[in-house]
Formats: sequence, C-alpha cells, structure tokens
Amino acid sequence: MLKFCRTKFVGFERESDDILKIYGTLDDTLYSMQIEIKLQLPELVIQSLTGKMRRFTTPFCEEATNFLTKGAGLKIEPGFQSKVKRLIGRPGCRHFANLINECCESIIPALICMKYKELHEENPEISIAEVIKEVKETYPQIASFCPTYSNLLEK
Amino acid sequence: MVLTYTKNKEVHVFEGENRTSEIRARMYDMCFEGEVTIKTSKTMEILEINGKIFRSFSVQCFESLKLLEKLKGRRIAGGFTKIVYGLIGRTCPYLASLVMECVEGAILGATVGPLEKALPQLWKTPEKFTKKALISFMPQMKNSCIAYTMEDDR
Repeated sequence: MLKFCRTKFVGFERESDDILKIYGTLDDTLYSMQIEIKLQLPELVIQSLTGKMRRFTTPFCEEATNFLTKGAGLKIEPGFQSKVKRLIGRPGCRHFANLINECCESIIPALICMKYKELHEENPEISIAEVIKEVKETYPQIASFCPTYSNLLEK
Repeated sequence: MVLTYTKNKEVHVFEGENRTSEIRARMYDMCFEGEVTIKTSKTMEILEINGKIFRSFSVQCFESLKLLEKLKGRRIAGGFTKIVYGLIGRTCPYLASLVMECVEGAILGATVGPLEKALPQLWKTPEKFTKKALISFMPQMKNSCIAYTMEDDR
C-alpha cells in the first residue's frame, strides 16, 4: 500500500540578461509549499527568495517562511547546500531547505540548456561538449562544484 | 514567458510485508531521466537497490549504476549522505540525488504513521497544541526544525 508520495517541480525562466527566475513547488502527503528565487547572473548570487506554505502539519510551521530572507546574498558554490540547511532548514523548515537545494542543484543543467538553445540557433551542428565549454567559460565557478561536467569535457 | 529549463522529481513509498518498504524515486529534466528503487527493512537497512538511466549525456552516469550495489546492506542513518555523495556524487550527481530522494522518502514515510496518530489529537485542542506536546509525541524529531525546537533551545 502507498504510504507516502512527494512530487517536486522546478522551472527556470530568464527574466532579463542578468536575472534568472527559479520556481520550485513541493507537494507531498504531509506538506505543500512553493518558492521563488531571483538569481543574479553571472555571479550566481541569490538576489531574493520568497515562499509560501499551503499545507503543513503544525501551527508553528508557517513561521518558518520568515527564515527564507536568510537566503538572499547566498552564492551557489561548494558548501551552498549545507548553508541552506543551517540557515533555513534547521531553524525554520527542512522541506523549504530541501526545495531550495532542489532548485539550485539544477543550475548547471539549466545554464547548459539555455546556452544550447542560444548556440543551436546560430549553429545547428554544435555538440553538447562545445556548449558545456562555453558555459564553463561564462561561469568558471561551476567547474569547482561539478566535476562531472569538467570530466565530460576532458573525455 | 517560456520556461528555459524544467525538472520533475517524484518519490513513492510503499509498505511491504514484515514492515519492509519499497521506495521509488524518478526524475526527469531536459538532460537526464532516471530512477532508483530501494527496498528497506524495518530497521532501515537497504535490502535491495537498483537504478535505471533512460537518458543522460554523461557516460559516467551510466557507469555509476554499478556503484549502487555498494550501498546494499548499509543502514539509512547519520552519515549516510556523505557515503552516497562520496561514492556516486562526483561521477553522477543526478544518481546521487535520486538515492537521497529515496532516503528522504524512507524517513518521511516512517513519520507519516506517528504523525497521523498524533496530529488529530493535538489539533482537537489547539490551546494544548504546544511544542512540548508535539515533541513528546515525536521525540526523534526534537531540534529538527522550528516546530520541534523549544524557544530555549534556539
């Protein structure tokens, strides 16, 4: 018998040349919440973080929304996920922290997808390795926290 | 405005015989699609673990599937996250993320039952719905988040 289910959805939207808007939704047997992140490019720094709880278990949960402001100014870099857990998860709500990390761990594939669409229009023959190379040039910091993409280039 | 990137992730936790659980996590985004299935004992020991990758442009992700076998026999407990990221995270972060989704599902699946019993009782008398009362029902959750942290412990 099914005793628990959770669905998470993440969407990225290019608001302007230097702002990426990220939406996250979490819905499960116990909780339902959503967040919106505005990310500064190319620095990958969170400009604003807002959210809302729709369903929760205790009367104390909603107060955790106040801790989301602690996310402003955080930079997506090594150690980011631990910082989110420490600043928003433990003192506030660990499901909010989970959702923020779910959104931000997608930053590299999202940047690759955006760059692919951009470059593919100019050159339909472009390979994914060339796209990743371009992404790494624009965002050199990603190599330090995602060896998979670095290794992919070296192959 | 058209979305430039989307990701969907879902986890399902099924109750099996002898208090075993089967947890299935599936994820797809624009670059990857895969799933991990874990079977756990009542003590959260991993009895079985399997993975499938349907789509990925990283060859290493496909190669990482065989590493899942190394998690068999381990218990989901403190330090497990480090083991998962140490083993798979560097070669395929997507696969590690799917394993951790199963882990989160296993933990939450185990809390649903006690919460279903405790919460209706607590909500019946909201004036008695205190953090102290909540912690007495769910002592394992103490200091895990705002709801289970007493003001003095902040």
